[in-house]
Amino acid sequence: MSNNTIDYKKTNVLVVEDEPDLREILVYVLQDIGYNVFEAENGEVGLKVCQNEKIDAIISDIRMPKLDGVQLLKNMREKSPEIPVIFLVTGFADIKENEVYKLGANAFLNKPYDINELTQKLENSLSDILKKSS
Amino acid sequence: MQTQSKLRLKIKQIKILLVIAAVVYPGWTFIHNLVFQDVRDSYTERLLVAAYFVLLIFVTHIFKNKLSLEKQLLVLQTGRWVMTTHYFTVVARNNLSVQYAMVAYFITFTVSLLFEKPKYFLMYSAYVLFISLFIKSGYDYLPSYIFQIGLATCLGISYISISNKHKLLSAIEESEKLFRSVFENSGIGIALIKPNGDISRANEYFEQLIGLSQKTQLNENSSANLLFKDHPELFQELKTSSRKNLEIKFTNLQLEQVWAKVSLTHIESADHKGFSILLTENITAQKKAEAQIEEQKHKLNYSAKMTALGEMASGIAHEINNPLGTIGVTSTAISNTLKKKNFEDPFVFKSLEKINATVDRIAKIIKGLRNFSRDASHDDFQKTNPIEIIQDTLSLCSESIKKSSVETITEYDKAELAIFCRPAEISQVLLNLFSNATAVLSQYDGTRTLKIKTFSDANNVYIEVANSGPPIPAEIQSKIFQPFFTTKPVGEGTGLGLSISTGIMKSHQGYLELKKNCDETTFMLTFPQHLSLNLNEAS
Repeated sequence: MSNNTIDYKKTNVLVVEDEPDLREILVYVLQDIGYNVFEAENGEVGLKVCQNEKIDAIISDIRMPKLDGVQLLKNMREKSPEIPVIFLVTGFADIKENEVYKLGANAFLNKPYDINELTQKLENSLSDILKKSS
Repeated sequence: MQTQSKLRLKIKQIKILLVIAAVVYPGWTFIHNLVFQDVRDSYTERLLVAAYFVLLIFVTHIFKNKLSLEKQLLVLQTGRWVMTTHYFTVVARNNLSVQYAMVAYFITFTVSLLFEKPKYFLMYSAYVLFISLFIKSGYDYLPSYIFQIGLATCLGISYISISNKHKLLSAIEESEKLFRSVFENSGIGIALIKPNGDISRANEYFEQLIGLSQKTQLNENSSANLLFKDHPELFQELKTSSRKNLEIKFTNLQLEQVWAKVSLTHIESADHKGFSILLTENITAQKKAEAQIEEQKHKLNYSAKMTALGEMASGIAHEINNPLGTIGVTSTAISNTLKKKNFEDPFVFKSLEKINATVDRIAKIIKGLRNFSRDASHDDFQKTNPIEIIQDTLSLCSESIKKSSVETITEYDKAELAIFCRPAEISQVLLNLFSNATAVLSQYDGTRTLKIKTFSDANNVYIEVANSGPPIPAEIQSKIFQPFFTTKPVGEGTGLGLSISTGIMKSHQGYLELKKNCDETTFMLTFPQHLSLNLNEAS
């Protein structure tokens, strides 16, 4: 059991979101739980962060300037296919449900979403990884 | 047809003449014996000739179905030949005068005038001329060649006159035939109308147009005044002005609605009464096609409008969902933080709950708007709980329902129902019914309730939408599902809602119907369960 418990302090979560207010509150909530949080305002910045840091999970918007969520995911997956990625979707216009999974996302949430649901999904994804590695 | 009836009449006439001849001819011996005591004539011969006439009548009667009319006529005519032969025999045997033979000839000549065919007449006359050569003149004032010359002259003159008459008649017949075929095959309906409105003649096209069957004839019911009673202007002041290419709709004798293009022209006749020529063209199919095009155009407009709205809704969704997300996430985060700090004030938590509920509601409205306005006709069928669709749709129009002070009552027989459908399309159907009901109720002074019920049996799942407003008048009940029928003021309703909804339900193999014998105006949606079975098997 102890193996499967997430060590929040050592877990680096990247939040990629172009809406500053939403990003800010997300970062706050995740930090409040105890995660070590990195933030980026678009996919391009997000990708740089991934290159420089050891990221354990990504929460990302899809529709963003410069590099969007899908592009970010594709670039990401080449290097680290294991990292859980949760997409935040502004409704239905962005992408279809099955496409999200086909691209290799672990979960997705429609905006406006319940923050508790998001943190739960993040935790589930991380414990799945732990289970696999143990 | 006409020559056939003429032939039939002629045959009848000849038969009557033969009957008369059969009676008169044997009686002639009596006159002979009275006038010329020394005449050698016999009843037996004459009775034989009479018997031959009777035989001819019987033969033609018995074989009337086997022999053509022409052949019957030919057979009957041999009576004349036999009679003439016998008469000439009597003349020759008794050395009677040529004048006497002439009498005989002219009797049969008169009879032969009835048969206008010059061919037969010529054959007969030539035969008479031929046997007259064998007559020996007796105690005569004139030599027999005088008779033969006279006979030949008569023959020539009558042949010319008869053949001229025949030529004239056949020319008239030809011309009649030509004009009749033009009349019948002109590709338009032509009718001659008497001043009193009766139709005196009409071609087949016209008869078909007015729904005249082959058994019925033109009569007072098919008077033009009656047929076009909805268009009295058609026959007014006809003498001074003509009508050109008017498009009218009328009910024909088969009670079909017919569109016709009509032109009327008045023609003066010798008796000063005059008549009118009515030219008509059936344009029902064309009118129907036009209406269909019009309908398509409106539907296209409608769907273009909806597409534009859909695009806008999806833009709005993106713009609003982001800030909405911020609100929702923030309020939950505040709630979580306060809980962690053991903050205890029910009002604050309740208010934060309210913020979240409102965020959900806004999100639902946007989702509903988007679902309603986009073209969902290519969506996949999904197993969906109709109650969810009902709730989503209600939230889309909850404001207008509230504004019209309508009370919504929902009755679900069980919470777990499933139909296979395109949820967005069903939402469109429901929204239509809800907004129609709300529009009616907002003008109504009695209780205003909108009742939504779901129930199911072994075969179907049903959704009923009932409103307490005034009942739909019986005369428009059948029309409400037709495209463009609307009771809303011009510019407000497209008149397409129920017809599009009917189409959607059809694509779900279900129905949309107005329930009969209900206290309230009730529309019922029926979804067949077998559709879900089929889809299950397919998938």
